[in-house]
Amino acid sequence: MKNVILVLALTAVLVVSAAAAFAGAPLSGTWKSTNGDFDEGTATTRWAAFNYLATGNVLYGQSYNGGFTNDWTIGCPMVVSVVPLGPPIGPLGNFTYMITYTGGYVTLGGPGNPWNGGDAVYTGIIDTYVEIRTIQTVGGKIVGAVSDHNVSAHITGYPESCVAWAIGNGVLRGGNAGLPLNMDYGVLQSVKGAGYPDYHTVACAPGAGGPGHWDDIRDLTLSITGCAVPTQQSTWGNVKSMYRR
Amino acid sequence: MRIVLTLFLCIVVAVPAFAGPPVNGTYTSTDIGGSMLPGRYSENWTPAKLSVGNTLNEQSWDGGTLGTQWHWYCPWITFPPALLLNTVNGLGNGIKIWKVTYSGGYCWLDGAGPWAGGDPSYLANVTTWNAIVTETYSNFVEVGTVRNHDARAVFVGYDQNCMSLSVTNTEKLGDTNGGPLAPNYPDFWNWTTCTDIGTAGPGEWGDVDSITYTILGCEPLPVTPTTWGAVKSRYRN
Repeated sequence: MKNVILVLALTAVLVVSAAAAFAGAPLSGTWKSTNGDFDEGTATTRWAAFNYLATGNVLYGQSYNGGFTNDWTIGCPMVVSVVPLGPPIGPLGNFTYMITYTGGYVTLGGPGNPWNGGDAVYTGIIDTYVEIRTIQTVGGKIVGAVSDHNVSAHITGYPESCVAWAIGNGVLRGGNAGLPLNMDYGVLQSVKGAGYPDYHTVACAPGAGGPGHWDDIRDLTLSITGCAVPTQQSTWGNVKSMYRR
Repeated sequence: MRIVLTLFLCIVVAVPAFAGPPVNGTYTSTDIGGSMLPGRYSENWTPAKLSVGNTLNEQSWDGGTLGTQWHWYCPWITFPPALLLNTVNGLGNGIKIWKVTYSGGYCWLDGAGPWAGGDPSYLANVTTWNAIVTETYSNFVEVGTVRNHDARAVFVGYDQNCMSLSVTNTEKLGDTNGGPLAPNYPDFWNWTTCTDIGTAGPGEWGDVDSITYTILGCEPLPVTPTTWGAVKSRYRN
């Protein structure tokens, strides 16, 4: 009898612990930063080899609203492919690249956000991350760039069907000198401001030095689906019967 | 005497038309720290999104009035867009990325803008206009779209080297499948006549921001020194 009570007690502890970690799945739906549903943000990209357009570069983004917030983070996807969609970058013109990332994670803060289902934070493993970047160069220098970002991830701790995906616009605000062309500091920033996250290493450790570049991230649309955990009605008698010998 | 008067009038009329080219430089929109206004866009559909013949119309927005500082109009989709990426799964969830090529169109700039060089306004012919269109789908329904635009244009009335480059971000905010064109967004235009065709559509609309706009190669028109005698001799019979 003592053993049965001990097992029941341990089970209760485990259930309570699990409930604290996964109190509730994120809600399904679509939300937009433009509508004020959640914050826009900023991002930094640490360069692997003093190169704005190179594999090995690591991106880190976070929601920002005058200060960093916990609405979302994009943690450390790494560039694995940089493919020009036209002529490669030159000293004058507009040049477009498809940049593919691998690895990394996303977090979505729970309380206060419209997708909140009870957890303090939801973590997703990135499945795909692609950026299409169009760069403007004048006089052999980069004067600006705009990007379309898109990411998809599956949320850990919930069914495999629990996925989140998002799109957004990015705009280059500044960066270090490097390849393939230096930046025009008459137009872009040469020093990363406090409103941009720390650079992160490949191992996703913060506080790393540059070189790198930084962007504003805007016009986000986030969708979540497939996260609800099916529940079954039960009685206390049924629960007890599960542990009856 | 009549000839002299005609010459004088010609000179007076010509000076305001091409008093000076736009000032070379790179201008950015106010949302990224510059002095150029961001804007709004509409795209007329013929008959659906991403169709050949769809026509763009973009105008600056100062919070109260459209088109006071710039107006870029009538680039139209020339070829069927190319699908670069499609992650939409069997449940209808995912992302599509399109590359869209436009032809034609014009860039009008107010002469009092940050590029002011003396003319009341400037007009440029668009020579290149591309868009990257990223759509997100939920349950087979498009629920969000962002775009990058890049363009090149050559100014009218100045040397062929007098040109502009632009890159912008846009976000689609609505389309006529969900209701009429929202107030204070640019009317729809049609490229065949390059005229305003009103608000009926069908079409879409949204915001334009994160603009980097460069003007380069613009120099004052060359002036050849001459004498009054030389001018008179050109018209003497």
